[in-house]
Amino acid sequence: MNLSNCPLARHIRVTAVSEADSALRRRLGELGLRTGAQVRVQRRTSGGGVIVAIGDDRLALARPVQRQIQVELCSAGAAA
Amino acid sequence: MRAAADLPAPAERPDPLPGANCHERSGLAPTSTSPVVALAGPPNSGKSTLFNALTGAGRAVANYPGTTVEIGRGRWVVPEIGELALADLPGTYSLNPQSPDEELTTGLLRGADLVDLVVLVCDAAHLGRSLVLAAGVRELPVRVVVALTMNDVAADRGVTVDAAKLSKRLGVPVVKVDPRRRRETGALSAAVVAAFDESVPAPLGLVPATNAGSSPSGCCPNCPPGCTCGMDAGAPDQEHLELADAEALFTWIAETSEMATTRTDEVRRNRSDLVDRWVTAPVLGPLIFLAVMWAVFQATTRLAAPLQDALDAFFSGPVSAAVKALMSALRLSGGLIESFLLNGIVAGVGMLLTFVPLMTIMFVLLALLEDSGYMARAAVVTDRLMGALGLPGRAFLPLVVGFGCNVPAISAVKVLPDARHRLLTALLVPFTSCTARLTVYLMVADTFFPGNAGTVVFAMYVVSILLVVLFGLLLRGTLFRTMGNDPLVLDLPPYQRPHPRVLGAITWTRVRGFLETAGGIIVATVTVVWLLGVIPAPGSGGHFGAVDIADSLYAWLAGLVSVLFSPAGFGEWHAVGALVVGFVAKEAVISSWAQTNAAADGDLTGLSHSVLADFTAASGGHPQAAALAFLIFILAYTPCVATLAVQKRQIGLRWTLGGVAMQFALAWLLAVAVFQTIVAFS
Repeated sequence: MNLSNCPLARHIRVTAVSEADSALRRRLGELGLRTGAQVRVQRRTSGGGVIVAIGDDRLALARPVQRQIQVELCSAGAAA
Repeated sequence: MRAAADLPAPAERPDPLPGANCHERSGLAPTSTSPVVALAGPPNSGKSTLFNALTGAGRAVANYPGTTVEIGRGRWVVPEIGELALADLPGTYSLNPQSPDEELTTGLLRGADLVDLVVLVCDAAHLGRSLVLAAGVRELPVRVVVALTMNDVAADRGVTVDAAKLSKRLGVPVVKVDPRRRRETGALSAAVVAAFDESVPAPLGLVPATNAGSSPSGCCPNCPPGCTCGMDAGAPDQEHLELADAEALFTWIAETSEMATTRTDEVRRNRSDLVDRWVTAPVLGPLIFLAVMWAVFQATTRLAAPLQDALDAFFSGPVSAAVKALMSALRLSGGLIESFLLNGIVAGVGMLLTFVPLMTIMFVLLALLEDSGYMARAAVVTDRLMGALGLPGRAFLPLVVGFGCNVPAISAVKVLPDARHRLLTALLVPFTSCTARLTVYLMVADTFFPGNAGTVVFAMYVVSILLVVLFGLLLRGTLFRTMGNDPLVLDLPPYQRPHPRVLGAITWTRVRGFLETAGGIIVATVTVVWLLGVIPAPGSGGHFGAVDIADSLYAWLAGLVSVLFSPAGFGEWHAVGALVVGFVAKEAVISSWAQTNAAADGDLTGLSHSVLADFTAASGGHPQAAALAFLIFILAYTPCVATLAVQKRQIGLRWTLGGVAMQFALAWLLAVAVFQTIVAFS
């Protein structure tokens, strides 16, 4: 499961960020999207984008970026 | 108390960058004697607001020498030291640059003898993110004072940052500031004064791996547990080291953030999230965006127009009358000096000043959209549409404004955070058909296509949009081939109420910058065109200053150049003369055309007759084809000299001239193609 096909408004954890594009990976890391980060997809926007909440930060990501980020549901979220 | 002279002079410190020299330093500080303080921080951290709060009159925003990246420069007067040269560097998330703007900041920070002290702006509401840059800067041999901003936003979320704990962790002073209310900047100056008294702090040493190479075990010191890179034969590769460094860095950031921050249990609703629910929604978001664009367009056209007309009337009325009265008092009436003052200086200054209301409105709107946080949302909403053209979503705004006037539109490219995107957009804006061109379309369409004038004018707008799209794709495929098509990764800052004082300061700085750049260019060009009209053509026998326009150097040159336009069907001096005037300002095309055709100003019927006769003769009996070719040329070549002036300010002289050449070439090719095709098929 990656950010483009994960459920909305659930607590999810980043399990891997693709190493294909190292500059993108580094920038995502700087913005808080790194392996182990707990995030939440708040909503989808027009044109396939998503807005992701990382703590108090909000990031907008285009679809090609979403596919680079593998996620899993947090256990609390999975039980709910 | 220390004087500026007591501070270590730049030359006394070691120079780790061979390329760093006085020229680069002078790009940061207008006077070489003041110590240079750089303001650095992530985007949206309140850096420019702090810059405006710290500096007073005399600040300026201009491109850093040799780049198309803007930096702010100003004087920061600190009583204990004197004057500091404060440079507002483009925002960057880290010292790993991903755009020319971030590259400039990184380069200037790394060039240790360029900057004497860094005021590092950290956003208390997004501390973790700010610490990425802080950690990078703390590896550099430079004095650092951290200015902690956005404490009120953080407090709204139940977050408090402990400045003392953060200071201990970072090894440099940390001062809370509230630049929006101009409070506590005194504490910041005191910290800066104290930092100048101390020696340069030792680097934090968080990322030794890339500097030290492999550790004795063969594995890098920052490797996460369970790493097997050291088991392989040979040294670990650079990428692995970087990843390991990044892990160490992020762990340190998480720890620091945790240590310095206290959170109350009270969870308040994030108001920005509530607004974003509407503003970025799939259908409503684009509708809200279109409404905002409509408002911006109306403000830069309808709202600006009466102000511009009033200024125009003021210059052609009272100011001209005053000059005439003065001339008659000096017994210089009707002479060359009067003509120079009226048609050169007054006309040029008048034209420059009519842009002031328009530019002021544009700059206020830009600051409002940026500071409120809406511009980031607009970029999200338009990302896909503009992405198809290889442009980021924010490029939509300058292109929309361009249909009103190209001059503020080119200034509006500053909403794009990447210099390459700004350059590309600034080269495309001139193809958006501004309202000044509409006056020419209407006259020509009425004359040559009396029954279908509306259709012809509409077609010009369709062609305009096609030119933007096709020329954009052409540039992307050629000159801009190396520009990556980076997918959107965008931080959405919380919405904020813009502060009027900050808004006013930013607007004034930008309007003044426009006047300084555009003033000389516009007045000089208007004067040159006036001069051409009063110099007699070779062999005409006229006298300097007393020559009929048809016998002037202007008509003679237009006649020479008109040969070029024969293949387009309008190789005739009146039409080419109108194009020359159109290079200065499209608004003046009709009146100048009437003047050279000896039709009274406002007598459009008389003008229509002579233009129709001219085009019929020049085109060999295909006046309609020639008229269409002429319209296409009007659309595609240089919009006006004011556009060139703002382009020069945004993208530099070389790209501006390159753009002029490209537009001329394209306009000529299209005009010839249109004329020849229609003639061949008729």
